[in-house]
Amino acid sequence: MNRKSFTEQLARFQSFLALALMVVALSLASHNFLTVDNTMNVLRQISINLCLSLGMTLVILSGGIDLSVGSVLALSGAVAAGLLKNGLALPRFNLLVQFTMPGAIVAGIAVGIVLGWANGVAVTRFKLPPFVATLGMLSIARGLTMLWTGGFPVTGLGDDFGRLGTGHALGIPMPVWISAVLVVVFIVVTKRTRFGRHLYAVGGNERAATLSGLAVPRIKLMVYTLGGGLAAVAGLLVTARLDSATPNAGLGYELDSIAAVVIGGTSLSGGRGSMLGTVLGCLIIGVLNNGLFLLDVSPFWQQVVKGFVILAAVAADKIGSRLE
Amino acid sequence: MKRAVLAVIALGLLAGIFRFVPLFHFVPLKQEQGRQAAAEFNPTNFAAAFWNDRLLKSLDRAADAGTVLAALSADSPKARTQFGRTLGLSSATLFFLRGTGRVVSVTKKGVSLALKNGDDTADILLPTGLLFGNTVRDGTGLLDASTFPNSQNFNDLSAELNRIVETTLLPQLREKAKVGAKISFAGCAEIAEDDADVKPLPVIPVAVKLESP
Repeated sequence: MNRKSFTEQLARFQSFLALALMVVALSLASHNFLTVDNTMNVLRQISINLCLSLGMTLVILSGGIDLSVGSVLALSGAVAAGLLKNGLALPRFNLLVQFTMPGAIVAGIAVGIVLGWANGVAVTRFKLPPFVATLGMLSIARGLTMLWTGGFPVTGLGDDFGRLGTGHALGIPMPVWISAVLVVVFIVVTKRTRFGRHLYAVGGNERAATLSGLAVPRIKLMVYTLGGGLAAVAGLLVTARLDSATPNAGLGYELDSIAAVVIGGTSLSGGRGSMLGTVLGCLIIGVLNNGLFLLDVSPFWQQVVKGFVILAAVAADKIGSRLE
Repeated sequence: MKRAVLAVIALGLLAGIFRFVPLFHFVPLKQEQGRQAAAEFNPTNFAAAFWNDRLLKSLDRAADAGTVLAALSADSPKARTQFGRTLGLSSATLFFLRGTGRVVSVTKKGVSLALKNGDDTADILLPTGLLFGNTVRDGTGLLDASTFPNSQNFNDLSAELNRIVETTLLPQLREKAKVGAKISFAGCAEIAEDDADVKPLPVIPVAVKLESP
């Protein structure tokens, strides 16, 4: 293997190598790190960010960005929790619509899909920059969450709903199963479908994609809608895990998901990256958080370290692109 | 045409699924509101019932304040384990105490009591200002958080118990406690993990009996 191809391979597997190095270092530094319980703990913790990051990967691959995922997560979770606990009163008809658990889940996901679709419409129909459109949605969704909940947490959602966030199947936490299924689905979607190929084409060169006859607005609309739906799934998992929908849930989650996507090697300018890279990015952030916690590092320093890791990942990505 | 057929099939499948797994059902609003109102947690009623039916009937469960204070100064960790209790991850220890003391001072902070005869050192402070926190709720050990539907109800109950103390016990302490008077009390105290010198120990009273000097 010549020097150039070695550096190319190094650039390609940089996220994996970074994760492997971290695992080895933390295993040596803390005997509590590489245990089955802690591994499950890390996987459960990253599953929420993973759901968000899958959607964020789609959006970033298309050349956009979605800053609203944290607020969409909060509103979706709050709507599902509110409908499950209190139902929907229709005083004019003297009726109360009582939602079953599947009904509340469908309603929560529908809210995410609608908000994501609205983001897509703002970007494609009204030609707003994605940053601005989704920043507006961030505020709108957070405000709607406050209005829906009255500023108070919605709690006591029942054991059945709670199992979605705290239950296990075959010894593995339910959120891990759900996020794993979504990972597989979106790997297939991005790698094995026409939509996936078009997505890379749109993100790589939007003008060329348009001139090639691709329905760019429709693809982008689809991407933002899927992003909203995935944020809603994350919202349901958070709500189920805490048995509570809090109005300030998901604050700052958009930054964690963007960080995971970037650390995973997806280019912020679009057209380059992978779902598997995003999984690695989520794992790196999760392992980093967990490791720093086990090593008793102050939470303030944890923020600083995370920031440096993101900077290092972007720098490595730039260097990697030049090498490739 | 093909797409329309697929859409119809998909809708039919969904309708079939939702037939067996319903997403929602309708109930008369007024009937449901009546049922919910009946089942709703009322912290005022619950606190009043708890106060009269359980707390005041359990005062004999409280440990002797003099014994606990002596044990705390001799071996604090052992005394905390023997007479106190901790909740969840909290490192503070809660005590349910009772005793009789002589008023040695009355200040804005509260009424200070000496437990030993002939000694004017304040052992206990019965605070007479506004109450905050969950010491009364958690100190007796009679209430279990897990039996409440949610933490909001449990917190409302705490506020309501504090209100009972503020409105029924503290006014008479403020008005009638004079230096030299004898007071029999029962109440709850909370000591932080790093509290080395606990005297005078603040005890939020749940029962007081005053005797003139």
